[in-house]
Amino acid sequence: MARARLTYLSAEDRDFVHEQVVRVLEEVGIGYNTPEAIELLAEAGARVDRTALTAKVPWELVERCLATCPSEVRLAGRDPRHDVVVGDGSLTFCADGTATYVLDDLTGRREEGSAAWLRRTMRLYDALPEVDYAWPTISARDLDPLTAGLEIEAISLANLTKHVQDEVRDPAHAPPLIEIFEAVAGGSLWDRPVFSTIDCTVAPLQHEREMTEATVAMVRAGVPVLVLPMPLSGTTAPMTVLGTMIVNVAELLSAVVLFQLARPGCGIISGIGAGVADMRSGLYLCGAPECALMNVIGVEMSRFYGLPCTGSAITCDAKAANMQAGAEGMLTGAACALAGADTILAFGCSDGAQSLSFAKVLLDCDSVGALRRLVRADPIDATRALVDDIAAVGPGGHYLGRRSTRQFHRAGEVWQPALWQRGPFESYEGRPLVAEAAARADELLRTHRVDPLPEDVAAEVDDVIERFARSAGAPGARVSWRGGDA
Amino acid sequence: MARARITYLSEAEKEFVHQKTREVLGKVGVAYNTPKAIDLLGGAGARVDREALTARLTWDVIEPALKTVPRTVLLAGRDSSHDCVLGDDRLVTTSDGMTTYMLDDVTGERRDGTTSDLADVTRLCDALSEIDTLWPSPNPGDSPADVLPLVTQATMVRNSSKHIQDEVRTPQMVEPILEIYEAACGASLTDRPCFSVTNCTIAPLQHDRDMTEAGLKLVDRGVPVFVLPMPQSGTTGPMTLLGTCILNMAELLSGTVLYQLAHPGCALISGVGSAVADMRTGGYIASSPEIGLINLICLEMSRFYGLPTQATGMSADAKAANFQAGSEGGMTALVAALGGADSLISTGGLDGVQISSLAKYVLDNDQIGALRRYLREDPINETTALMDDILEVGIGGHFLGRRSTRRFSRSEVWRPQVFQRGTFEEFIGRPLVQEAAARARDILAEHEVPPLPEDAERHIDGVVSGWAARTA
Repeated sequence: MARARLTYLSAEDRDFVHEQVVRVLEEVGIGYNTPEAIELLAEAGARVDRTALTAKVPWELVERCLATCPSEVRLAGRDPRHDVVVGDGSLTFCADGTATYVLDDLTGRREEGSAAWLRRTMRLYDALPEVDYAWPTISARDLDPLTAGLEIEAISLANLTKHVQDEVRDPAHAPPLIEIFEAVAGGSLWDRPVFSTIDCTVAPLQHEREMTEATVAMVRAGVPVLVLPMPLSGTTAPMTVLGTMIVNVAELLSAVVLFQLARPGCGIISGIGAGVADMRSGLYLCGAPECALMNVIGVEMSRFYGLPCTGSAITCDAKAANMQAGAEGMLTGAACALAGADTILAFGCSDGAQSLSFAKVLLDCDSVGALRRLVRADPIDATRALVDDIAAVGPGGHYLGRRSTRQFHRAGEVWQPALWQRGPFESYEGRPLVAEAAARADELLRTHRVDPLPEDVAAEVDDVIERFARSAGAPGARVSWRGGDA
Repeated sequence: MARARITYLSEAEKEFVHQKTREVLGKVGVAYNTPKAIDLLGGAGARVDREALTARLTWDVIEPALKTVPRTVLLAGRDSSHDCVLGDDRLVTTSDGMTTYMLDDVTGERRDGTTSDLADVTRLCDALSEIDTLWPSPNPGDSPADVLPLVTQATMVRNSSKHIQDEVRTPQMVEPILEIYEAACGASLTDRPCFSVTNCTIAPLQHDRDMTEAGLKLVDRGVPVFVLPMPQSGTTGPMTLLGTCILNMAELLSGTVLYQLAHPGCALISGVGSAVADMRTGGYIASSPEIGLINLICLEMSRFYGLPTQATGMSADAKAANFQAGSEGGMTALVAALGGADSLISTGGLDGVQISSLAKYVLDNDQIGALRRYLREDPINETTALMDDILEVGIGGHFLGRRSTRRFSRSEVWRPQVFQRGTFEEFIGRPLVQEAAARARDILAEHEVPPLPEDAERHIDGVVSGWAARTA
């Protein structure tokens, strides 16, 4: 079988990167900033500073913790048909986030996200087979901040029958969220992990206390974790791609150690959130070629350590679903996919992930479809060589009527886009691509029906949220996760 | 050194493809359709049929021809600062062709291309930093058909001092075309090959007589030849990518053998023009994941045979310089470039390379810039790891004020010329395509190409008018 593969680091290069990462962990150490974490590290033999809440992490401890990481991590959907296994050789795609704005590609205007937009977004993802699972892509500014952390997940799970992945920033949210997820899963999250959490380390080399405490609570309940370092070249990381990734990998391994010590055998996925700062504006760039190379290094090092990994791609710096968006997204996406990322963040986001557009979600589905065809393994053998046909057709003949042509066409030798425009120019006059994509999104939203949460589950979710709201002092009248809009 | 590379076939799989290609050439053979070609091949020991004008090629005929193909090729410009060497480890890019129409990027309307459009597109490509060599686009449709090929060359050579590549379809066109180039470049093509020729085989397994006879003359005159097979999966090639690639390589080797026999050691490049057909319409698809894979297979096989290469990427089926154009073009270009192509047929084409778009040339220029960053070799060592900085900045520090940040910020990060970075607000009311189209217009208003010497101008005029008179 032939399969397109991208390589970047040589074996010597990988060894070098590994040695530098070990140096950073052992000589610089990590700012865990979390007393509970420091105790776990101390108990395991790391040299800790209980005042500064830092630890120097010896390689042998990292190695021990890597050994207890599962090589495959299941991400369960509310509907088991949508289950994803990260690390089993499949390639899956996750909707990215978290955008602040919804962009109207037709008018160019953007508006802030809301609970209603989040509902629509998740329903759209439910309707699209290319979307394997999702982050709650759009922030819901109208939700009460006291309960938003719970309601966003409730909205997501209610409107999507696929797996949901998101950050949990507040340790106080962990117990009610676990209750909610267990209600949706119908049991233990170890069996049906319908949610995975994202742990963002803080570059350089730190963990944030509240998120760390929340994540530790989650992993102990069976929630898999995506570790997502986000060093930014030139600001929170050194200016080079290589230097930035040394920081990324060091943070990754520091999190692996922490979570495996907290709960050996918990599911961990390596994420790559590294980026480049645009030196003119200081803003985060995610669509730059350097970001792709960072992802490739991250994928190669994750595989070196035996960890399943998520690449960051498709999301662009372009301000709209235009040619730059297509180019940036595909260049980063192809690099991640061909380097062997197990799963890739994709769909819908532009302007450094600040904006979401439904037209882009649809257009990204074709990019993802193309990528799946690109990475597909194909046999290289006599059945595919079709030399018999070449001989029979001979010089100057034609293949259109051959049985092998029908057979392989039907078997999907050539990928067919859903929206991308092929065929005569005249067929598409007055049908600009973005407008077609936006229209298709509208159509899907009109026609697609999401299986609702069973009423008893929904009632339980309500109950958990209400109890939490009362304990947090949230007002009775506030925007509810249930909503009432389309 | 870290270097991004894409591979596809295993060594055993390359051997398999090689055996199948030999089988096709040995058992099925090729229709050269050209008596001169048949004479050359018969003389070299191939089994020929002088009536059908076909030949079967065995490895003992093919292998010696491969050995005489030079590994690097000079593609000279009228201005030597635009010289490129294909095969010396830097990707050589060319604009795509030949389109028929010009697109108005703002209204979305297309119209037939004219000589004036060809002049503009040529001058635009001359100005764009990432485009190394030029194919003609669009077709100068307002030119009389009989002189059109000469008008094309004259227009291009006047509007660019970069290397130019085109088809030469008939042997009669060879001398007038070469006269144009030798006048423009002020040297013989053997010394300064400022023109190269695309020689398209006709799938499946044929050569066009007129184009072949032209090719035979051209190699004697020092013109590098790009052999470009173009089978389409499902119509003129088998439905599988592998089958289409075997056909591509068979046609490619048939051209290599012919031209090396005609002129041993002539500069010859393996072009990959294979594509897939849109099975609904039978139409040509320029850009798809399958084309990426076809390029990978043919690039690997071309290297297996020791041949320099030209791959296809970046041109689009999209009807405008839109998301689809960026995504599909980006995919094929990335795969071909990281697959190790020595040169890449790339910029400017839309709608299956039927339409030229000024905005797209400008945007593709940025795409190529991005691609070159992917291709760059990066040292992996203590200096580039910036370990000193990591150790000193430590936990929770900041790298913004570091000397290394200043030092590396220019060289480490590629900067686009037109792609939009910065805040959303900065770009409100400035849609990308319109900015790119405006940039193209600015370039056309400002960019000057060094004029040809007066005597060269007169000579070229004479060649064109002389031809018109002959055919009148």
